[in-house]
Amino acid sequence: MEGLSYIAGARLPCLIVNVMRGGPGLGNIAPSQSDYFQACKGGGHGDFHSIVLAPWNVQEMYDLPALGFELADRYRCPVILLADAVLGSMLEPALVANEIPAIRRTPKPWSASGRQGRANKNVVHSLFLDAEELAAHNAILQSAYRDMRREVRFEARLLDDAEFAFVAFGISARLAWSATLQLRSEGHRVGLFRPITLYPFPEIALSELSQRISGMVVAELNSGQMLQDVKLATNRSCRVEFCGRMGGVLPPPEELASAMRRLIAERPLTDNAHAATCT
Amino acid sequence: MVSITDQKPEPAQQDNFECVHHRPDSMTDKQLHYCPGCTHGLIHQLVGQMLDEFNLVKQTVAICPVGCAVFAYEYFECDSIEASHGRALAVATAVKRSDPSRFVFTYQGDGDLAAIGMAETIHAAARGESLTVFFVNNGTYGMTGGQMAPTSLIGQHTTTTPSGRDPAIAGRPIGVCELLSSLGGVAYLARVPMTSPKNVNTAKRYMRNAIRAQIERRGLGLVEFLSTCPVQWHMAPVAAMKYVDEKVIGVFPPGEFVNRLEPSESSKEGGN
Repeated sequence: MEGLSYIAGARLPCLIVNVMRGGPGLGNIAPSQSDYFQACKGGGHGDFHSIVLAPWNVQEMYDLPALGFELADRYRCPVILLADAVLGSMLEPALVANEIPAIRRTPKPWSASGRQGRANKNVVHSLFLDAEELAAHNAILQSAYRDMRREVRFEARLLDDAEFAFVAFGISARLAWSATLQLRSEGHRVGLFRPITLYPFPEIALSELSQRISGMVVAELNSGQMLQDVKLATNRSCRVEFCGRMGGVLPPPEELASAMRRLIAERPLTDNAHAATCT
Repeated sequence: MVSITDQKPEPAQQDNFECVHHRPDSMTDKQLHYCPGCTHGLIHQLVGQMLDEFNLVKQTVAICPVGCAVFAYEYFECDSIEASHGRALAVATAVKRSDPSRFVFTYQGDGDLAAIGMAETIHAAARGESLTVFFVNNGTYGMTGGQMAPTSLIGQHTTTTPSGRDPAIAGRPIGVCELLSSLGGVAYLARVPMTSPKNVNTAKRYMRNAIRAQIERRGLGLVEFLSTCPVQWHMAPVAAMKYVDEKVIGVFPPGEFVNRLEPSESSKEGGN
């Protein structure tokens, strides 16, 4: 985390792959999504963000790293590919281009790679002892974070006529999609909203969605981390309930479907929406 | 009080003087921030002289530390990267491996290299990275207030060992050269106290070898400078020098520890 903070402060592009496991501490090696806060809310000290990409299948595990490098170069920031232990070890078909596109090398006139013919030296650092100077540097970072808003990516599935929606990323979205299809077969108008960029978070799209549906179930393999961003984005426009498991437990899709049925029946899930389980 | 700039000779007078010593071209004009009696400034000057002598400044990437020398990148004319505390040799490894044509040196203190960065140091040496390390050992954390370092002597009074370093509680000093001597990836390893003109000349000879270790791609080259910290040692500068010569070298004996370089003409002659 110290390193990540330095990278952000020095405005260095890089791609970090975090295949999330159960925690905290040594935890276990079972699938989890409990590093959402760590990835999306900074993690190290200082006011900084990383772009966070959340693949949900092997195809995106293959496709998103290229995008990650491109975004890292464009915004000079760390990009985190936030996968989980299921995605990290699963086998499934994926389309691979016959010819891998040539690497686009972004010019890096700022890099400390030896002056050669350059008149001035380049220094890569994150130390600004003068407070005004550091404030100005922070303003540059914040400006980049504002520009990143244009990189918001998400997938909307069966949401055109939906009354209710799952909001989930990564492997949880796969479970939520199975639950969605089950609920559709039962006649419920349910869809899936899947953020692909967790930072920047698709808050505008989610806000618009919340104004035309009755309720959402946020499904995560944690105690409700993305849930906070969903609540901020929806701002009480619709009911938001949570269904999650901790410690590496992968719930069956039926558990998510059941949570949605309860929401549809307008019965509260639990006394506390932050509760870890929805059984 | 007359400032130094006020004492510059008049231009007419200047014509009568021959310049026998000047700031190295590889150093910027920025005034060094180091305390009186500290040898960082002297070691910086030697680094600058070496970059001049080997004509390396345009292809050099300096990896700067955290600690007293955190602003080293302001004093050298080469491209520089500020590593986080202890990570200089990890950063240096990345730079060198991404472009082996570059000359990469780290400049690190004992808290940086021998405490928080000891893992990076040992593994860079074990991997035999062709890098050059200038290691400044003053036996304390100078910048942060004089706490005990891994290199503090037994009995040394520091802010965290106010009664003197007690080996029963705080262990014994780590000899970095002794420790790294066992690793086959090290091409050159030497220690020198910065206490006299003779020793400064020896330091330059050692530095040339540590630079050659990289240029000839033989592995890690490291020079340990036994430095002073008059402020945190609570000694006058001259007394601090004497302390190094009388006490410190008893624990950290100077000399060459490893030399896997081909003998050069200058080293055969013991030239400076």
